[in-house]
Amino acid sequence: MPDINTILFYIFAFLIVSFSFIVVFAKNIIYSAVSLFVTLFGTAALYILLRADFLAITQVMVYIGGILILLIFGIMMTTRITDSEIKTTNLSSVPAVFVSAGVFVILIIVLLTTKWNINPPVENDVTVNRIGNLLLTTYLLPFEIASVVLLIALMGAAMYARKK
Amino acid sequence: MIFIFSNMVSLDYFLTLSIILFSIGVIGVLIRRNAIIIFMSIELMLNSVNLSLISFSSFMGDSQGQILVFFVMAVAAAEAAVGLAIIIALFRNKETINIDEINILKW
Amino acid sequence: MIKTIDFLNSIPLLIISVSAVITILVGSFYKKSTKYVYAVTLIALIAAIYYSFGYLDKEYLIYNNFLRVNNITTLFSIIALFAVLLSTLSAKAYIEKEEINFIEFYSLVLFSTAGMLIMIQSYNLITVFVGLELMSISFYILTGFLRKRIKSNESALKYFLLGAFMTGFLLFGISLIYGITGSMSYANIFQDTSVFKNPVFLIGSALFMIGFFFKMGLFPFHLWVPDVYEGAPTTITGLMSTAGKIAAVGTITPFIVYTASDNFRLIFSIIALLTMLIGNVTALAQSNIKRILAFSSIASAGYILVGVAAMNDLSIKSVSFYLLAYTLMQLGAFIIVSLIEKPAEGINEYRNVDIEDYKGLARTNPQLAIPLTIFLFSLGGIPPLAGFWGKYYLFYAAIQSNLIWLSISAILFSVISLYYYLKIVVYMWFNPPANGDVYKIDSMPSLSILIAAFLTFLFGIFPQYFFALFKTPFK
Repeated sequence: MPDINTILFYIFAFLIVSFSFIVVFAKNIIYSAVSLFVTLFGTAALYILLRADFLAITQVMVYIGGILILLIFGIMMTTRITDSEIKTTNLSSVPAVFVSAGVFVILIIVLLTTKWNINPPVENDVTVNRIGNLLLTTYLLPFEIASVVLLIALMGAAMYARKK
Repeated sequence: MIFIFSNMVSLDYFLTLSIILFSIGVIGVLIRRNAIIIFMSIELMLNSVNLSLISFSSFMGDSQGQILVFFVMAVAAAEAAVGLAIIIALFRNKETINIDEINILKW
Repeated sequence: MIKTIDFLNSIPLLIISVSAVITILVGSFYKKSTKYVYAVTLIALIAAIYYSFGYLDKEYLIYNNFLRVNNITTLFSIIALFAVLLSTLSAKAYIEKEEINFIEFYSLVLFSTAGMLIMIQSYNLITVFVGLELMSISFYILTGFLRKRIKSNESALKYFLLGAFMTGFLLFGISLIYGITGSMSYANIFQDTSVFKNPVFLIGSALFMIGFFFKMGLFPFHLWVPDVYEGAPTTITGLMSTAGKIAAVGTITPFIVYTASDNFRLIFSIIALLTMLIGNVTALAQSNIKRILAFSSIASAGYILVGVAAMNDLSIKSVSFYLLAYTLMQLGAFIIVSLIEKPAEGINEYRNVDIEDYKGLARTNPQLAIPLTIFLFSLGGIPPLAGFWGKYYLFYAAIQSNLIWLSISAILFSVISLYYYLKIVVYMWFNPPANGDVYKIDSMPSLSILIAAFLTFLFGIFPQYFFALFKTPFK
């Protein structure tokens, strides 16, 4: 009898993989966006299984609350909803499948034959405090740089939007 | 308590899932012709990277991986804002975001 | 915790980032202050270069070991800062001509420079990533800066999508390196040399390098280069093709030299060979001058990789000399192209960038034709110009590592490249003028052209001056 963790992992893994296929292969771009939502949510659930509670919440807030909404805005603004322009085409290309299958096979073989040094994870460890402390002490420099990256993104987006 | 589960699924499972997700993202970037779908596929790739970083981080009991994931999310948000601004600027001038109709975007 | 001493040990980075923030603040309150912002940008760059020279013989780890200041990082920082200075100096005339003289331009250039410095100095994979993204996102925005011109939008979109795609690979590489070494700090990664033979580490560092090879424009990741360089505003093309490349090379070369494993030498040599082949042969068929220079920049990335593949004591020496020479000649050529280019009346194409438009330039505009001839000769590797010595040191380094076949083919490709450089020169000097236009040249662009031409000659005739200037890295 598999334990509840394994069962949950399989459920979410199945959701993630099947919906990410829809993201990539759906003919209707809105379906892709909605499937991306499920994929991102499933990944957030896996983060909880991996005891990364802080990142799971951040994933929901940033990816689903921010990026996905932005993407849907982008879709709405760049496609005329009234006519059926919303469909997109595919380029059936053998090399693409070849490249990605190559990446897949190499990585799988190497990663699954490697012996990782694993420490037993800490039981019931809440990561919010630890990550919060680290971000504002040890990791202050990258934290500041990341905030500058957000600043220039803001500036750039505003620059593209201006009329003059 | 949030975490009622005692034993974890093995690291290999998470890595396999991460690689599958990464390959799907790569396929998406290479075969789709719509800029927004390509961008979504890139988000899938970033998600798979985040998953592998968090699994390494949890299984090694080390925080660095989770911190990098935090930065990846921040940067992904910035990239999304800039990318969509570019897409909309192009759409304004050209009324298309399909790569077949964009001359220099054939690779 | 961050200590006060860390600030004193990273003055150039502080100057650049603080002045970048100042430009935004000033710009948001005074819309008409572009002149002052331009001056602030130039002063900041000059001050940063001046203070950088003070770190040449120092060795620090700062900001909790996130950045490392030593002679090699300082050397690459100075070259990158110099490239930014030279291109910004000439940028104002161009962006006024194209009516995109916004304060954001200078802020973005300064922020991208900060990103370059962070990348070059980083001692941790996290700072490599955020620094790279700071630079790249600034470049994506700058590429699309002519936002009413479809060509500029298209190239920004292409650069953005491919750049983000490659970031995925880079991050997967970082994740694998982290998984196998258990750390992201170079201090821990380089500690245990036995891990360098581990297949996971090899694949991880290969994926990590792919991200930088993309920025350098090496084969098979070069496809974006011609289109993006052609579509971006010409001054930005100059900035990306020099400073951006210097930052990528400066980040990856120490990493490669540290983890030097012979597994990579053959792969690098083959990539270098193919890059030189693609760059030089495709350039023969081009007629747009920006595309010719783009392919020449791909070929130059190939030459640089020849020096990197050598992986010996001469690598960093030869690569840094070539980078400086390349900055002078490539940037000088792009500045002249940006002066000859005419503002487009419609919204689509760049005007006056075909080599047909360069016919008879020597008769109508000798003040542009003479320096352009110097830069093209230098790019072609004709002595006694800086480009010749740059190639000489690179190929010499390769010969030292027994890569004789690579050096010989590099010399052959260099000879092939003379054809398309000389074609432009012949068009300029021995053809009747295509039109009688006399181009207006402001004092700032002519100053930057003068500096570039003078240094091309100086380092061509006395290459040892460069090594005397940067004595300490080459002890």
